[in-house]
Amino acid sequence: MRDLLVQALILLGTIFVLLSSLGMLRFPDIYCRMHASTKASSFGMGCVLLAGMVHFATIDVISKLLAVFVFIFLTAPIGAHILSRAAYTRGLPQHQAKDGATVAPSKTPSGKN
Amino acid sequence: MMTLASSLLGLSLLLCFIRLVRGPSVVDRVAALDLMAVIFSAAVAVYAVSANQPIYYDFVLVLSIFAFFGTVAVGRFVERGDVQ
Repeated sequence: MRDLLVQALILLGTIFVLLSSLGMLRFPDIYCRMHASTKASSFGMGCVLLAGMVHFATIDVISKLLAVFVFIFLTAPIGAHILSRAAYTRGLPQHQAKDGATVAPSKTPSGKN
Repeated sequence: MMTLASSLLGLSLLLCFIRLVRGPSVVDRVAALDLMAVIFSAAVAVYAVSANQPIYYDFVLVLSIFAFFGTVAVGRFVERGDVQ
């Protein structure tokens, strides 16, 4: 029963990581790619770490995995924010939708720090 | 089961590597490298369950820290205009 739960969690996390890298390859611009790479990959990594917690189930492994979990869920949005702000500051183009509903990147960003 | 998970993670690494080669700007390449680090640490975490050795989670923690610092450093450099 516990092995089945471990395998299901590992398979779910792996599929989410695969979907994240598929979005990284297929999405049209850098902002959509940051959206794909951050959320899905941190959720998949969380599922894999949860599988490790269920599999080992000792207090030292669970505390170590909890540290990794908290670290990944804290740093993935920070890294995505820094990369997206760098792309916006450099004026990388956004994907033009069919109905033209997009916001052009400003060449002179207001907060330059 | 572990073979299926490992092959799916290897396929993810391959897709990210294609984006790393083709990426139009340096920010795409940095994002692809960051995602490759996450995929590799997920592969190591799967291997830790498969080999029944929890010592490998130390490697996962250290790799996550190094990937985050590298992403922040390169993002800062790109934002200041030091890297084209």
